[in-house]
Amino acid sequence: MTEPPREAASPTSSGDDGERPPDMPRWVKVFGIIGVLIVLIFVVLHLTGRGVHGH
Amino acid sequence: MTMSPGAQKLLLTVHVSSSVGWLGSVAAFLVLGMAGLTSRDAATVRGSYVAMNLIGEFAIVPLSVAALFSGLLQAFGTHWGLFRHYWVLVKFTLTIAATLLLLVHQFTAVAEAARRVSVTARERLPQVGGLGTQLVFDAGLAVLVLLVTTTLSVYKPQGLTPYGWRKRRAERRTSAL
Repeated sequence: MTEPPREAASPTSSGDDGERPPDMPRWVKVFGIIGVLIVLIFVVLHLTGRGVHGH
Repeated sequence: MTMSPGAQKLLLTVHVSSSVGWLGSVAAFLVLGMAGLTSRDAATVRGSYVAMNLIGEFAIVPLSVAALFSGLLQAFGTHWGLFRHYWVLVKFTLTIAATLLLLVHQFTAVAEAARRVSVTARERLPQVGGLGTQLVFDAGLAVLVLLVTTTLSVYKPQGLTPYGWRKRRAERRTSAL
């Protein structure tokens, strides 16, 4: 984490020079969707009898 | 506040060591969980759950806390920040969620499985019920999450948050004056 951020080294490639903040990258949205699905699976699995009380 | 290069290297060493140690100990936990779930040998099942409890308490929990705090110190002590880049924010969210879940997990499910096998008579095959499947599923999920955080740290995908973008503009204005 110690090397300088790439956006600082190449400001033109990062899309942060405009008047508006850049859009959220697609990879963050994909991560968000996968994260919500995993949390749902985790909660469902633990609420349907496979949890600590499921014996 | 930016740390000196020497302090940054030291903290990076602590962070990488604790993160890799965390991943390795969760992988060992997963192997033991699978052995406990599938074995028909009473000693193997008993030994697996007792060892999982020890690994959780004395390796996974301390390493996860060390990884979380060394990561936080790095974020605040370098130009990366905690809220400026999406990859740092996503990694922080995953790490804090994994740490909280494993703390709850350790002191409920893992401790309960170890307790159940410990009170079973030596000649009988210990039964932990649904806990066996739950521990394997949770450990598999933890390995996946830790592989994702490791990948994020190596690739550092680009993307400034709105907060990071405003800070960047403010810094450029200040340096232009």
